[in-house]
Amino acid sequence: MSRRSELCLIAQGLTLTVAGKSLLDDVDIDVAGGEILGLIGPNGAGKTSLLQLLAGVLAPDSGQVSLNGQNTSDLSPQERARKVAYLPQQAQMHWPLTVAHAVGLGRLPHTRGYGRQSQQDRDAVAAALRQTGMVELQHRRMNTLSGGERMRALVARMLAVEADILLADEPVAGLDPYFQLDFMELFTQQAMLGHAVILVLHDLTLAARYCDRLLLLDAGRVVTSGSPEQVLSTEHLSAVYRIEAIKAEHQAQPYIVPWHRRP
Amino acid sequence: MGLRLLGHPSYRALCMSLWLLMLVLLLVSVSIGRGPLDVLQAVRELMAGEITPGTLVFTELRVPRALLGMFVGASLGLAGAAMQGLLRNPLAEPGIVGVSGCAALGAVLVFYTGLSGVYAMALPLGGIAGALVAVVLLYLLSGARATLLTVILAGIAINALAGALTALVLNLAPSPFAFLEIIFWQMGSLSDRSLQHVGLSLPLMLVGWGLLLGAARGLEALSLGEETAVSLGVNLGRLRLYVIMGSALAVGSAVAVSGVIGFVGLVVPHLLRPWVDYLPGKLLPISALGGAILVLAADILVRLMPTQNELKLGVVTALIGAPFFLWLVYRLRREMI
Repeated sequence: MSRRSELCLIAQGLTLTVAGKSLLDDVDIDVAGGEILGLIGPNGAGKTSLLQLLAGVLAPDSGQVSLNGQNTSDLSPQERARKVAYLPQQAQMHWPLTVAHAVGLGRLPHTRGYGRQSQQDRDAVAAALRQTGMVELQHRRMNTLSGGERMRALVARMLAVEADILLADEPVAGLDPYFQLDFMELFTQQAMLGHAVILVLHDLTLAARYCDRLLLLDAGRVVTSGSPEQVLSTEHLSAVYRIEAIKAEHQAQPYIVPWHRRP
Repeated sequence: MGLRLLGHPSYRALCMSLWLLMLVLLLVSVSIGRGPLDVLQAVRELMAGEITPGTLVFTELRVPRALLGMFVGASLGLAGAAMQGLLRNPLAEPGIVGVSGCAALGAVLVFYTGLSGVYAMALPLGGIAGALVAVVLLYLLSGARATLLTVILAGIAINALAGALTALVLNLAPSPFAFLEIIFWQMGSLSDRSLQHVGLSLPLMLVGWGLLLGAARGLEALSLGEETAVSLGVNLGRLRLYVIMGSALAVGSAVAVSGVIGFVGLVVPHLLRPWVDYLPGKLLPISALGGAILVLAADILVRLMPTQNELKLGVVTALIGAPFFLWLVYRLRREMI
């Protein structure tokens, strides 16, 4: 399994304070090509802010993000957008665009001026539609899709960027179990293709099963990072999530069922 | 679905047809008027360098009116489409949200303080300043996550203030016709405009159009929300500046020469949106063409109506636009709650 490649994203000492409230405090994070890193932690831990810093949507107060050794603040917004694709939490869609057009917006970092897409752009859109199983629905309007189909279209939009780094904020929130597994497998495939993937997750079983490594955040600080077994220890679940959970294995894979709030 | 079965015309075919329709209406517009005029003869005399009553009517009345109709309509259609893209809200229209009203206030202030007599460009600049105040206010009041309700509420407030201040200025002005003037500014018209008005407003409108068309890419990305747009490399600050400055320039200079002509920026983008698959960037150029078509057509209509006094152009666009607005609100009301 030599999926890891040279490609990597490394961030060091990320600190972010908004309106006097410290959201992130000296956070280090790294992810390599071929790897899925799960970002976990309770609500308000700073997961979304961290992803936004990595995506360039927010700028940190201090600290830096580097891509393959190059500082991202040296890149133009468009260069950066070609390398890092980002799917925000509760991604919006304001006009009833067709799926194909919505996915095509993922090519914006590759085009200049307005409009014309090259053959390469069209190929990338077609590939993204294929990988997400949206080929047949490509002429449907976004507002006519089910929740799962809509999410697939938005993930296809992210894949169409053809970025090395994929960042997705709670991509499986609000989806039925079928689609949750479907998306985790899709991201696993993307990692196999050599992409570096960071996912914000709340479902600890999905995090344990599908992520190569986990990073546990609490109150803007990194509590620990490492293998899922290590991070999802009984102590961490108790201290950070304030729960007791049932941990077991099925077919040699872990599952975690939150059971009690900690007394 | 019906449209899809018939197949969309290509974007180019759509643009060409709109161009054609606009040119036809432009020709119709110069060929009708209060007095009889042999247009062909006037053109012939003009070419020959003669100055006759016919050529004077043609160059001093007909041509400026038709050209202004085209330019003002294009400005309103384009600004409407761009503002709707920025606020991601189909009801953001220069007239409804008070941008036109504030532009009229700016123009009225300049006009009645005598500034425009000293410096001709002060008139469009006053309109632009008024429009700019309104767009910035609207953006600040309704916020980045503008809902239908916040945009409309902010618009009501801005419109009410602009209307009251305009009436106040006109009442204080030493004009015996203050009431007529109020009606002129709030129900715009293209009658009795000269080429000087075209010369005053067109350069600034052109700058506005340039800025608005330059926002196409960013507006397209914005249909995925602000966060995604930024992650796609869009400079949000610059995009906002383009749309805000562009709308202010286009609407401000248009209103300064024509008064408030409402609803054009609402009706036109709404009708054309399905033809470009709702893409906010592609919508911009055809909304300019559509706006020009609507205003030219409405201005032809006011001259053909057998009324004793010519109807105000703004009355006609409101008669078409207001029911349309009601219908849109009715359809969108679920989102407004």
